[in-house]
Amino acid sequence: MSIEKDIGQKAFRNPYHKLIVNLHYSSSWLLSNHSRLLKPFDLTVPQFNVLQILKSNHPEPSSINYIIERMLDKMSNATRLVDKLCAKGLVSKTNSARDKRAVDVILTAKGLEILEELDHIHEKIESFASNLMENETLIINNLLEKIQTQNSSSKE
Amino acid sequence: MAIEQDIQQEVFKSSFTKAVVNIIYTSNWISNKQLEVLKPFDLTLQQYNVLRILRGQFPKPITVNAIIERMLDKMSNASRLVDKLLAKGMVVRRECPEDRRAVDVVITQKGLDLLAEIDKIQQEWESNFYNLCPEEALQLSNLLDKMRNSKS
Repeated sequence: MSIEKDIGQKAFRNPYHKLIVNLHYSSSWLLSNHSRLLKPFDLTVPQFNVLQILKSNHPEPSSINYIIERMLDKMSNATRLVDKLCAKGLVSKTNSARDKRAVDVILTAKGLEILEELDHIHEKIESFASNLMENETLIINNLLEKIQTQNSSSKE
Repeated sequence: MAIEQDIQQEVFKSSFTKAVVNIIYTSNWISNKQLEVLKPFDLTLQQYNVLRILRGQFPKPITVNAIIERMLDKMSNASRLVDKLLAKGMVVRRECPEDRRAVDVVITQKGLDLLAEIDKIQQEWESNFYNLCPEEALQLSNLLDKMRNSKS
C-alpha cells in the first residue's frame, strides 16, 4: 500500500501501472539520496557518472561516443556534461589522434583526486538497498531483467 | 545480462549495487519509451505527469504545492510546468478562496481530451511491455517499497 501513500494516489489501473509508477518513484528516491552524497563535492549524479566512466578507461582517453554508450541515462547531454567538468578542471579535452573531428576526454589530476575522495561512495550507494535481503535484491534484478528482455525482443 | 550489456559494465560490486543501478536504469529506459509515445502530442513526461495529477482531482482544483507533493520527480519545477500547460490551454488558474496567495489549477476539457487520446496508446504500450505476470509485477512493487522502507 505504501507507494499509494507516498504519492497520495489511491488506486492504480493495474499491477503494471503501479509498477511503472513505483519504478520511477524509487529511481527518483535513489537519485536524490545519491545527489545528497555528491553535494559536498559540487557534483551532480550524471557528472559523477561521466567521471567514473573516464576512470574505467584511465589513463586511456575516452571519446564522447564511448561516454554516451556507457551512461546510465541515455538522454543526458554528454557533451554539455563534459564541458561542465572541463570548466571545473576535472577533465580535459584533446583532439582525437584517430579522428580529427572527434574529441577525446581524459581525467585531470584534480579529477582523479576527487574520485579518490569519493572512493567510499560505493558502499553508501549499496546501503540505499540495505533494507532488503540479498535474495530480494536478486529477485529485483531478475524481474527487471525480464522487463528489459521482453522489450528488446519485441522491437524486432 | 541486459544491463551489463547496455551500460557495458561487466561486473557489479554486489547484487545490492546492481539493484540500485538497475532500478535507475530501468526507470530511465521506461521514460525514454514513454517519451516516444508522448512525442506526437508535444508533451514532456513531466507535463504529462502534471496533467494526470490534475485529472485525478477533476473537477476539484488543486494547489501547486499539492501537485509537487504528488509528483514522481520531486525535483521538477511545478510552477514552470503549470505555466507551460497554461500556455497550451490544457489547464486554467483559479484564485484560491481560502488563501489569496495560493493558486489553484484545474484541467480544461482540452486537457482531458488529450489525456483520453494518450490513454488509448498508453494502454496498448503497457500491455505489450511486460513479460511479467501480475503477481511478479506486484512482488517487484512490494520489494521497491521495502527498499524505501515505506510502510502503509
